[in-house]
This record gives sequence, structure tokens and C-alpha cells, in this order.
Amino acid sequence: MTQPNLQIQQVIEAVEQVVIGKRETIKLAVIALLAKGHVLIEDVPGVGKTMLVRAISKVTNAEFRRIQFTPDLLPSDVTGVSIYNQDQQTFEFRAGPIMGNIVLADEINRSSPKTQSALLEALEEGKVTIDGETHQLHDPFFVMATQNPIEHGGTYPLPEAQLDRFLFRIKMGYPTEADELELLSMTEHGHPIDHLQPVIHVDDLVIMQKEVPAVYVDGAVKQYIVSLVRETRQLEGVELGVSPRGAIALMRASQALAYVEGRSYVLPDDVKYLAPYVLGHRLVVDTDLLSAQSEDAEKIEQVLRKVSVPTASKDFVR
Amino acid sequence: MSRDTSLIRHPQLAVLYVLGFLLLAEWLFPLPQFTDTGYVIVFLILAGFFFVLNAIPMSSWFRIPLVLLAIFVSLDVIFFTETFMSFSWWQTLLNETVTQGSLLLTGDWQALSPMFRTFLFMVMIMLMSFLIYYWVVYVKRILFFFACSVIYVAILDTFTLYEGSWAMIRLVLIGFVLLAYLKLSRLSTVYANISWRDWTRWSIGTTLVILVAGSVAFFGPKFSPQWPNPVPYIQAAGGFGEGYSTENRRIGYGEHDDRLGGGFELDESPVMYAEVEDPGYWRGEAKHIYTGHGWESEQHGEAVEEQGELNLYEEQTEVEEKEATLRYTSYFQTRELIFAQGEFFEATSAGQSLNYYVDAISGRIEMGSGYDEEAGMNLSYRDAEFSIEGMQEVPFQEGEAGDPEGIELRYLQTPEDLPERVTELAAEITDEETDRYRAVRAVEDHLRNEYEYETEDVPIPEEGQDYVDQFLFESQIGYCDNFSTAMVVMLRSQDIPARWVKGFTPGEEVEDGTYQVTNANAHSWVEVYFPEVGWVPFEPTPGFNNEANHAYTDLELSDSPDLDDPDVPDPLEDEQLDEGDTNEEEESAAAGSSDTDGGLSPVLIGTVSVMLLGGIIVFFLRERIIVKWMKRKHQDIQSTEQFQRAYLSLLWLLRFTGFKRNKYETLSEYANRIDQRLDNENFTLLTRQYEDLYYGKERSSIMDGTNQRYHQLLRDVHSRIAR
Repeated sequence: MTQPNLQIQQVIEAVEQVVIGKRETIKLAVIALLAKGHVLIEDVPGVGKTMLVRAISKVTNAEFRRIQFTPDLLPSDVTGVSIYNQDQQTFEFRAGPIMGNIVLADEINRSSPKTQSALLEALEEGKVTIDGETHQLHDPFFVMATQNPIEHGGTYPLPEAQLDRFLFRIKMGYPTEADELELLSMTEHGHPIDHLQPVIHVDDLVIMQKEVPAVYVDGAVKQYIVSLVRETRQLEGVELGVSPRGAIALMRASQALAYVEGRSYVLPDDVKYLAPYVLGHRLVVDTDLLSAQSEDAEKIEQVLRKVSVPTASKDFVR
Repeated sequence: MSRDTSLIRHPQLAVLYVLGFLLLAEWLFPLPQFTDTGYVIVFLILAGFFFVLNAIPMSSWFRIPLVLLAIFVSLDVIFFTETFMSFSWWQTLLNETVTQGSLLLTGDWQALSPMFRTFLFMVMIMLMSFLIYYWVVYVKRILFFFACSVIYVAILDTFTLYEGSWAMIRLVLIGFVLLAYLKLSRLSTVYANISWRDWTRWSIGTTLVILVAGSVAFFGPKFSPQWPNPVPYIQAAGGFGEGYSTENRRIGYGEHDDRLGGGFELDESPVMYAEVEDPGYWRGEAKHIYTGHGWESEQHGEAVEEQGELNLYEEQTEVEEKEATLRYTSYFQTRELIFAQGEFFEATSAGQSLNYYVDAISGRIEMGSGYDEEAGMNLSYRDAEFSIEGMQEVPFQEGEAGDPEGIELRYLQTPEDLPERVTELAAEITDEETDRYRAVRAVEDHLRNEYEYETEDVPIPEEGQDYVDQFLFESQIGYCDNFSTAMVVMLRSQDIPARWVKGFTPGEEVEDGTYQVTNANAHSWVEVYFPEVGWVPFEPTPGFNNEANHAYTDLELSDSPDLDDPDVPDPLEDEQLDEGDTNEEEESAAAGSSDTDGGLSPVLIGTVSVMLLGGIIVFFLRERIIVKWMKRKHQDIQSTEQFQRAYLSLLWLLRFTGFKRNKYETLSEYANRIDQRLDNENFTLLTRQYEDLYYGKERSSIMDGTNQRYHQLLRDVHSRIAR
């Protein structure tokens, strides 16, 4: 019988000590991290987004950076600049906040599209080019962007094409009453994150990231993924369905989930569980931002109900 | 399982159980309509006893003797003359059991005695009572039986004399109440806290629904029947085995000719062997009342005379005395009749005189005592040579023929609603004829030449349609009954006294002078009355010739070449074409039951109900049977391959028993759902094992405990079903 991956389990449990009652979100973040994907968190301020990222970076001993996106933020403020060094008569690269292992891109929709795309390009390429010089980003590199759905004034909603760069879109939501109470007790005498100790080394993360693609995906499961993705393109009220990139993302994420669970193969359950997070933001639904997420979730739910799960037929016996 | 106390702890179930008994009673009430039983009350009491017995918890060691005792007492009431449980009583019972048991084993069901059939029927009542107990108390579902009951009453109402209106109303009331409260009972097993208040509310709702539905049905406008009567349609479709109405019947000599029509199959079972000089038609009896559907004979008791003589020919007709020997086989269903080739006047059997009764009007001769199976019977009869001149002397014009009054009264009858065109056709055919003989010949020739001989696809007249009219103008195909009846009716319409005769054709010569007559040789023809000559047979059916009537040979030479039909088939074909009047009631007659009066044969009903019952039992136990079978088949799961097969059949079983997997459900979601209901995690663990094999890459081995889990799960499913 399969046992969940122990190290990952430790990471999740450690993070859970500071982010109360958000085990699912934590797990999803870790899955994204392992799948070399990035996460977009869409929620109101103050529900623990920052705390989540900080905690993850702390327990994995990763370098944490934060970029607060503002309307006047320039692309170079994200990626870094080359500065002329008078002493050595050379240009010297001053790395921007993107040069970290785990980067929090806060309120990404408040800066100009130009700056947004500088970040998003970095997400896709895994490197930045400044003044003709290419700089590799760190490894592992994990971005958690947040989007504030309430403040409409002075925001630049992310274009659909760029939403595609995020592996998951997650909504954190308010904690339950009990959790909120516990949160207060916990922070009564200082924040516990200061006492959080690393449980794995950041290099272990890199090794794990390399192990994820080795997780076996059976033809039947691949077929299931493809059926799901294709079904999104036929949904009513959806302008644009999920791209093939979305299908790849779903498979990779499922592999990572299977890895977290300590399984050497992907189950349809993995796919089904992750589909709302992976596919939701890849749909172009004609609606406003606030209700978009619930609308998307509903659509994905429809798709999941339509597509039949591949299970054994009578003639199949291995 | 709460089997032992369920009825005591749930008085409402006891009430429902009584309603279940009333449903079964609706099955028993109509019994006299299609069987000869006069003992419905015995069956009812017996059924009631079984119902009570089922409700009382006891071991089978008590139950079975009690059941048998009840059945024996009932049989005693119905059949036994001996003192109950006396020595001779037991002797009779033992004899009956041995002989009937062997009949049952050899499959000779038609020969079962009434008592043994009643015994089987009582066993069936017992099984039904148990089934109803099972339906009401265990599964709490009655819809199937309710629907069957409604169909049963509807069928009886349609096809028999049974008036099912009130039965239907009672059924619907009982059925609705049962359905409603059984549903509530089912709910109360799921939701523990159903109170008396809920019962009250449920009752009000149920009553309202029944009242509203009932009054809408009662007061609402209703179409008059959209079909005139479904019976002929159903008969025409050929599926229904009612006595006189199957489309294709086995042919043979039968007693009932009141509904003719429909095709038949040839039955080559020999009915008698005849040693005779010249082959001729074997005359059974004549019938003279044409109803529009078939033939009936009046009951004429005073005409029946012991050791009487038959009077077919007038004095002026030349006769020759002849003898023949007849031996009847066990296939013969009307063995009480004596057949003769002409005017019968004496019969002996094995040298002793044979006791017989002659009906002077129909010519039916019923045998009394004295028939020796081995020796058969010796017949003496007069064969006539009819004088053509004598026949031609009878004028054709109405009122001038000089028929005796008794003949005119009886043999000119036609139904009042006989279609006009039959008479018109007959008039047209005989238009130019001046004497009766030529007129008869003209009609005979017309039928022989213009209509086609056919045994299959012969229609049955619809309600309100005349049998002859249908044959003459619509179907234009038929067999002897069609031809002979048509000829009689046409002749009568022209005031020529005629009657319809049935019997057998000579059959096939198997040895020198010995003829084998089979059921397929059953036949019907026509007799026409000529003053001063007598009753002269005619043969309107193409392909048949009454060779024994020597007079015809003379006639052909002198006068009537047209008799020699150009398309008379050779003897071989003739044999194939040979047929006769259709026979109904074969089964009931053979089974020795008394007259069912056009109803369903009890044996057929018995057979069908036993099969139906077996089917029902298997149907309701199917899940248990399957689980048993699966337990055995997947007894020991060793290899992954075995496991996968076992798992797949498990999936199938679950789907079959109502735990269906939604197509969007993954296996583990499904397993989880099932496990929650069964309150353990066997299925989930098994599923994990299976997923490992199905979605995984490497083949893992069978986990420990898989066997136990699998069988535990089967047991859980089983007990779930049992509940």
C-alpha cells in the first residue's frame, strides 16, 4: 500500500502550524512547487496569502522575495537592472526581486501590463534578459501571485493568455470560526512564523521536482485528461476552452499530486481533484472578475460530470 | 434479522400482510370460471392458513408437516370418500402418489389426475403465500405482484365470462394502500424516527390520492372501447391459447364446432385402424344449427335410443349390408363415438354385443359398455347406391320438392343476419338449374373450382362477421370446414335441406384391407336431403372424393362428368391435404378434466403458472443466487489476474444490486460511497489494489487479506439484499 511522501508531509504539516486550517491550499501550493508551476491566488487581503508563501519558503529553506505591485512599478523593478560600475568600468547586474526561490508577487493586477508581462515572461522562460544579457532564474523558482478582486479602480486585469502561465488558481477563503479563534491564540504572543524551522533543504526540492515526471500516467488517464480538456471547448457560455497547454499542466500537476501521495502512477482521482484548480482560470467566461471564479468552478464541475471516468471493461485483465 | 418478531413488533405490517392475502384471494375468486372447481372456499381457507403459518415463527420441522396436513385435509374435503386418515384413505393417497408421481417424472402432464393437479395447485398456493409474506414483510415491495394481479383479472375479464369490474376496483384499492404503506415501511427502515403522526399524515395523503384518482376515474369522461372487442385480434395474432381460438390448431376429431376458422397443423397420430373392404368416409355425426361462427347440435334426448338404428336412407334407396372392424388407439380423443361408413345398424365387440346409443337426428352413436380394446368392434352398416334419376326427380322450385315438414323445420335454418350476398351468390349459381340434384352439383362444383384449399393462414371471423361470408368473399381460401359449411349454408339459402357432417376420410392402407386413420384424416362434408332417396353425401372440398359412394361412379358415367375434378391430387398429395375439422380441448380432454366450457385449459394454466412461479422465485432470489455463485467462483484469489476478474464481477454485482457507479465517479469515489453505506472500508481497500493494477505501471502482487475483504464485502452485499 502506498504511503504519502514523508518529506512532503513534513513540509505540509510544518506550514500548517502557521497557516491554520488551510491544508488543502498548502498542499496545492506544494504540488505546484513540485510540478514547477506557479500559483495565482485570488482573494481578499488579509486571509494569509503572504503567510503561506513565507512559511513554505521558510520550511524548505528557500530564498524568499516579495514584489509589491504598484501602478508605478517598472519591469526593471521586477527583473533587475544593469548599473555602470565606475570603479571597474563595467556594467554590473543588480538582480531584481525575481531572483529568489520563492517569490510573492502581491496584487499583480495593480501594475501596468508592461510590468506584468515582464514577470509572466520570466515565469514561462525561467530566465530574464536584461540589456542583451541572459540571467538564469534560481532553481527552484516558484511564484505565488495574488490578485485582489475587490479593488477595481486602477487595476489591470491579467489578460487571458497570461493567466495560462499559472498552474493553479486558488481561492483561500476566510478561515472557519474555530480556525480564526485558534489564529488569535496562536499570534497572541508574537507570530509563530519566526520560530518555524526548515524541514528540508531547498536542494531536496530540486531533486523532487526532477522525480515528478517519472510518475507513470496510464493511457486511460491521459485519455481522461484529453476528454476533459476537449469537453471544456464545447461548454455553453464559454468563449474559449482550455488549450493543450492546459492539458499538459493538468497531467503534470496530477503527477505531482500522485508523487505527494507517494504513488508511482496517476489516478483519475488526481485528475479530477485538480481539474478545477488547473482548468478554471483557463476558461474564458463572459463575466466579471468577482463571480468569475465561482462561475469557472461551476463550468469545470459540469465538465467533470459529463466526462466518464475510464475504468476497467470486462475484457481488460492485466 | 428481525424475522421472528417482525409482525408482532410491527402491527401495521400485519395489516398489510392481510391486504396481501386479499390480493391472492382475488386470484382464487375467478377459479370456477375456468376450471371445474366448486371449492374456492377450500382454497381460500387453505391460503389463509398458509398465511397465518408464515407469520408464526417456527422451525421447518413443524412447518412442513403442518403444510402437508392442511393440504391433505383440503384434498380430503374435495376428493376423498374414504374416512380421513383411515387405512383405505392412505392406500388411495399412496396409489395416487406413485402413479401420478411417475406421470410427472415422465412429463406426461396431460394425464395427471384432477386430484394430483389440485395437490400441485395447493403447493403453489403455499409458495405464493410465502412469496407474499416475503414481499410484504421483507422487501416491502408489492408492485410486481399487484401488476400481475391486475393483468390476471383483466385477462380473465376479457377472455372468460368472469365479470372483473368489482374485482378490479378491489384490487386497485388494496394495491394502492399496500404500495403506499409499504413505501412508508421502507422509509421507516431508513429514517428511524417516523412517528405515529407521520403515519397519520401519510394515511391522509394516501386516502386523498386514492379518492381523487378514484373519483376522477369514476366521474371523468371515458371513451367507449376503441376496439370492438380485442379477443378476435388477439386470436388472429395467434398468441393466445384459448380453447377454441388458437390460430393454428392441432387437427383432430373434436366435439366443439361452434367456432370455426383459423389454420391448423397436421397431427399424424393414428386414431384408429379399420379393416374394411372398400375405403369410404367414416361418418361421425351431423350438425344442423349454423350460428354464423360454426355448428351446434341441439340437445335431443328423446331422439337417443339404446341399441337404436340410424336412418339415413329412404326405403326406395338400394342398400348393401357391409361389415368392418374398427380398433381405436389411445390417441383417439372421442373414443366414446362409433364411426361407420354408411347407415349403421349393429356393433359387436369380441363376439359380445356392444352397448351403444344412437341419436337418430345427428346420427351420433355413443358407445356404452362392452368395448374390448384388443379386439376392437365389428360394425354392420348399410352402404347405399343412390339413384340419380330419383334425385333428379326432385324439383328445384321452392315449395314443390315435397320435403317432409320435420326436415324443412330443421335443415333450412340459417342465421338471421346471414349476409345477403351469400344468398345472392347461391341463387346466381343455381339460376339455370331445374332439379335439386343439378342445383346441388352446381354449388358443389362452384366451391371445388373457384376456391383454394389451404390449411394455414386461414382467418378467424371477427366479431360480427359471418364465417361463410368471410370465406366466400374475403379470404377465399380454406379447408373442409369452410367448404362444407359454405355449401350447406348456400343450399339452405335456396331452400334445399342440407346438413354438415363430420368424420374421417378413409386414411392410408397400411396392410391389405387395413387402413390407418390419423387425426389428420378428420374431415367434414355435406349431406343433402332428397325425398324418397334420403341423405346423400356431397364433397365440396377440392382434392377430396368420397369414393365409397358408388352411386357417384354411375352418375359420372351417365350424367355428371364435371364431378371428376381435373385437379384431383394423386393419393400422396391427397394424404398431405387430408385434414378435418379442427379440434380444441385436446389437452383438457386428454387430461380427463371435465368440460372447461371454452375456457383456458387447466393443465395449460397449471404448467404456465408453475413456470411463472419458478421464474418469479428465481427473479426475486436472483441476487442471492448470483452472490452465491460469485462466492464460489472467486473462492480463492491468488493471482492478480484472478483478482481483477473477481473485482470486475464485483463491480457488476454492485451495479446489478442497485449500487450503480455514476459514470463520472472514479473507482475510489465509488468505493468510498459504497463503504459508507456498508460501514467498513473493504471495497476501498480492494479498489486501491485494483487501481494499482489498472492504472499503475508495475504489477504488484495480491495484498494479504484480499480474499477475506472480498468475501466480507460479498457477505455485506448479500445481507444488504436480504434486508
